[in-house]
Amino acid sequence: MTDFSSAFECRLASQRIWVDCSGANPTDELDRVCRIFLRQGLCVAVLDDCPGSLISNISILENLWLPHAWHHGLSRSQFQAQLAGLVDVMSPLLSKSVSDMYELLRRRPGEVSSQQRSLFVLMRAVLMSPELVLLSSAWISGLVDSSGQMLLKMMHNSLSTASWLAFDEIEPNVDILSAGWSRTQLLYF
Amino acid sequence: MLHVFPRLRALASSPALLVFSRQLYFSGVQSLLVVLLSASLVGAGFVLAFQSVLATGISTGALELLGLIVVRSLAVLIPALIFCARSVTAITSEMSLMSVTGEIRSLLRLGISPLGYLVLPRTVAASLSMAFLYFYFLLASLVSGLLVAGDSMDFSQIVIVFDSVRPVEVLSGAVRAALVGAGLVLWVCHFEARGHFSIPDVSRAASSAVLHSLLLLMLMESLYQFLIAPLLSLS
Repeated sequence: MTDFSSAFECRLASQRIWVDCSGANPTDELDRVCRIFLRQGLCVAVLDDCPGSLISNISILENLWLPHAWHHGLSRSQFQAQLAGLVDVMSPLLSKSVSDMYELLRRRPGEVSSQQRSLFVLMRAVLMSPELVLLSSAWISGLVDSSGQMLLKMMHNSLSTASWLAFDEIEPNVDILSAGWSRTQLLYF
Repeated sequence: MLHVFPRLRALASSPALLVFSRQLYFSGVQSLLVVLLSASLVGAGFVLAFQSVLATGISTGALELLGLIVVRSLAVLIPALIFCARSVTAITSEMSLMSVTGEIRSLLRLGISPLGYLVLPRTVAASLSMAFLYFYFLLASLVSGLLVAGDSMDFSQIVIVFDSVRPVEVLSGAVRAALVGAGLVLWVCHFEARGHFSIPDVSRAASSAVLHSLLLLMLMESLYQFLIAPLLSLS
């Protein structure tokens, strides 16, 4: 189990924390910490390689819209205005035209590749403008292609005030995020 | 049920409304044809059975009896059986699969309550669907009964048949149908679609959900007929 108070203090002191999950399940720890921060009213984005990161019975566009509509009551048209800017940035990264991007967004998560799904999870996280990003190293290593890495870097740069918490037994090994990780051990409480 | 009602305001959010409208379409609109067909068969079958027994042809009394049975029991029971066969399996499979693939976990991570987003809209949609299907079943069975009775009935007899259906009983039937719909969805979401960790569990959950829902339906129906129906008859 994670010592919530020490993790939170570390978060204030540092922008990047690696939560060492030795002897514990990183996914469960991630969930536990996520619950704690959500209860405090923080906007949290989770980047994990969980297969159900996107809800399968709604379109990808509706998946991206879901947290905004639920928490802020944003209508679909208001959301699409926000989305347009990101789609413009994303389309060259994915070597797709803007119309192809919208065509992809209209599909269900099961109709796109797992690589593309990871990118849409990242895209949802960017749109949420989170104060805290919780991620698993497994998810980072899954972003093997350059577009994923670039999007992650873009997100990292644009969310300059956000804190990043990585959950794993090993230190995150992606260049753009690996520098300056503070390590916090899992403590029992 | 106690956990669901404090979250009713979640239904006002657009994503929950989307889930609600899809469930209403699936359980209410797409079931309509099957319900109307079974209602017509019940109404027509009842009258034909009477005609074959009575040498004098069908009487208004027989049609009044049809109205009574349909209002008090069949218009709740048969749409509920169709609901168990279609919606209960669909809801259980969907929710179990969401649990297995980690989609419920994802919702929690987004700070979205599965109760408010998944359970509540389905419960309200099922209630509304069942109440509407009750009315449609009642009307279709009576009309098909009258059509089969054919030449042996005049207009005044038809009016007598429709007058014999008491509005209080119709209203209580619709409320009962709505409660049955809500009860079945809550049962399924709370007891059947949780705690599954692998894909084979999904089919097992769907099959056991249908069986348990049918038993629950019979239990609710029996309790109503034993405890509440006599009180309504007295009033």
